[in-house]
Amino acid sequence: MSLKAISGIFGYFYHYASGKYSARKVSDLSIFFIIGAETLPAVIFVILNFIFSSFTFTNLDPTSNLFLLPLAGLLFALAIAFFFFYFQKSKGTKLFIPRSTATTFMTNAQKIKFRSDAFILGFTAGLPELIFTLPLYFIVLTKISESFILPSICAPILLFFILLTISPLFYLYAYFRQGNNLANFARLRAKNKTFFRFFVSSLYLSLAILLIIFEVSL
Amino acid sequence: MIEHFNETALIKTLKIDAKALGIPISAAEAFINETLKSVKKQLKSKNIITNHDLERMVAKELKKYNADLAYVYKNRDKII
Repeated sequence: MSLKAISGIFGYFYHYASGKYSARKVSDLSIFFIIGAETLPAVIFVILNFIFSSFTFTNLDPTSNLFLLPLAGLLFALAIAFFFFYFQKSKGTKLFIPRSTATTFMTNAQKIKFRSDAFILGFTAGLPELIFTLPLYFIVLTKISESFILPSICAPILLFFILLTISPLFYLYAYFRQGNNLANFARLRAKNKTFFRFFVSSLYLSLAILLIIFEVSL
Repeated sequence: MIEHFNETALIKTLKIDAKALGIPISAAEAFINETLKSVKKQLKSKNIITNHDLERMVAKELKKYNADLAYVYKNRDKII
């Protein structure tokens, strides 16, 4: 799932790689960054699926009200938290993540040299925002597990979802390849900051309401 | 923490930023040198300066030559 952190880190990484290496090497490193970013959702799905499977031995149903009601409450809380706390109250698009963590990401993005570095940076870039994105993975797995979907179709559905969550990175890669630079990207992020806050908060709110209306059995 | 002003590191950072922004390297070197000349003139009267003030000074001078480079330099720690 990509909110602002992963796209910001990618923009940062692409900018500094373009300043140091050839276009071919930058493309190569970018592809491995994106592969790393796609690996994180896959790993999360595997872990969540393992946790779901362990529930079947304890007769706890992940689609029951015991899980869905707190999930809906969490989504409401995230909607409010995202609106007020996702961006820091300062100029620019500084995020809620601690400055030391952000500085570590920025320093590592500047020092990328090998494909493995790019892969690891892409993989770890989505971790700071897990607090906002983990419930969404849970919802996707819940929906798949309660629907009568053949196991052979589950994998393509999950793959499609993973590609969808990382699609902003493909767009961003094309955006930079077209000749746009970090300055344009940063200005665009700063300009659309308020819209993004409203949009994502209302998405979380809508999801919580839909969950209560259609999934919670009263 | 008090550190000496590291001109070499600053020039290296600005050159990387300029290359990433697509600014020709000779043009970038010319206005980085002009920027640093102006900044050093302003710093003559000061013994100590904060990082924030130095960044503001450099960004203000850079803006005269290239707005994008000045923006990236000033906002590089405000993106994430």
